[in-house]
Amino acid sequence: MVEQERIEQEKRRWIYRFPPCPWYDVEGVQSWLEEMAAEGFHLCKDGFWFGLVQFERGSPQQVRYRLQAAEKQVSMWNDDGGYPDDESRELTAEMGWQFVSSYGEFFIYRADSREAVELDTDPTVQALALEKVRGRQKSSVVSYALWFILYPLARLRFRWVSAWVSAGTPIFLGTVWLALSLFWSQTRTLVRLSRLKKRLEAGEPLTRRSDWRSRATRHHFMRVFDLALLLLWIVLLLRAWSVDILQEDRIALEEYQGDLPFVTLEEFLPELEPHFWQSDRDHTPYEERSTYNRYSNFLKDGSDPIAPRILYYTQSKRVTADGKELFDGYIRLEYTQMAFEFLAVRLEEEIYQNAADASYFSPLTCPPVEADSARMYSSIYPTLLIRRGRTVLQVQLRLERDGSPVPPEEWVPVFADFES
Amino acid sequence: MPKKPLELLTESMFYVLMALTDGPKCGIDIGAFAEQRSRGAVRLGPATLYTILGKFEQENFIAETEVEGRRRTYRITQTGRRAYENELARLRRCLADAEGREP
Repeated sequence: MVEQERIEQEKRRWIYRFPPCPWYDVEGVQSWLEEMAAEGFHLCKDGFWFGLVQFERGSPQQVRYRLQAAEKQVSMWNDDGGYPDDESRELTAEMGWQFVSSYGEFFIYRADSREAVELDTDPTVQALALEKVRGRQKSSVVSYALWFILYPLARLRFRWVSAWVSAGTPIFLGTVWLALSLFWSQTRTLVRLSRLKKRLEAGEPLTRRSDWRSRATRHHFMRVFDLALLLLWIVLLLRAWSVDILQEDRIALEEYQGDLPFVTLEEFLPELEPHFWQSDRDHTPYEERSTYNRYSNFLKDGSDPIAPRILYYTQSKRVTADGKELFDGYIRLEYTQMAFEFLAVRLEEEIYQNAADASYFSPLTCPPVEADSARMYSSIYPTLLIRRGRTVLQVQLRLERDGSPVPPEEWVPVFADFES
Repeated sequence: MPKKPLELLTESMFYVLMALTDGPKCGIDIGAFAEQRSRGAVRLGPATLYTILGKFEQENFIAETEVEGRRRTYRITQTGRRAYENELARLRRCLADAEGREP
């Protein structure tokens, strides 16, 4: 019972709060900590942890909290463990200020005595200290721009439409939002630090501010909003990953009930003469192999705001009769109907460029067909890339009949006649 | 990126150099000197002192002479003395102008 009471007391001793202001809002943080102390909640040593702030209950006290711009980047991995250096701690301690915690790129000090001289007495000098933080923030903005915007774009070779179609609108836009939001938060911090520095250079000291409460609501809302969007993005990513791993989006060709807007291998099957069937039926004369497996004979039928219809179709078929191979074909077909024609133009170009990057790529002459654009190339197998209006069709085909390849002049016009 | 040199000494900076022309001192002693010499008019906060010492060391206005525990002692350099004397001359000129006399 006594032990339980002790635990309860211990629990009541600490309280936790989310900081109502970002770290660069120096006056807001100082004012909030002072108001908390006046209510009897005192910031604990190293009290800022993972976005939470720990306070210890005590008697209400009028104390001063001040933020000092850190000379070096604040990080627990630094040699100094993310603490102010010895000289700084010695100076501040002798003049009545105790180091309490760090928040962002600032060190937080507390003075219990009213007699202690202000931590910063010269705004111009304070601006000099802030310049170091601002310089680091500038580097941070540049590295965020490089790593979260330019690098991903360069990795995609600026082919954003094909990336959008393959990732799907929610994941693609979520990723873009995340990258821009990270970059924007760094830029906004830099802008705020620059404004703060200008005020200091103009000789304006940083005073206590009472409007931090009104900004706190917006700050908390934005944090919750950002976190919710991040979680949603992670869920979408995991969902897409699990669908891909478990192959949930694949439909075996024999089970598919919908209409296909393009022709398939059936169009090229040989017509068997009636006597052939009759004479050889009794001793396994005819075998047709086209079973659904991991690699072929399935389709994916999808839809997305940017591409109202996306069909991925793959089929392999082999027909032998009486030990003789009559037909052997493999097809991989991607049909993408885009929301707008300019996106289809861009997608077609990107598909071609992606194929052209491969070492085994070689251009082929495309037989004449009716289309806005039609190209042929060899990418392992002969491939036809064709666009009509806002629809792009990519057909990769290997087709042999009676042991000889079917020429493109025969199959290209057949595939080019698709619904757009 | 090249560091930005000091264009003008602020009052706090001027008192820090003044303290060191009097002889080598540590941060606390510099603060005490400024307060005493200005009869309490100039009180240097610890963050201000720390930033000035760092900046002056970077500008080669001062140099560290001794480290005793956490305490570091500094002396003024030739560059620092020149900067102090230039500022002193500027202030004298300002004062003379205000009083309407030749400096």
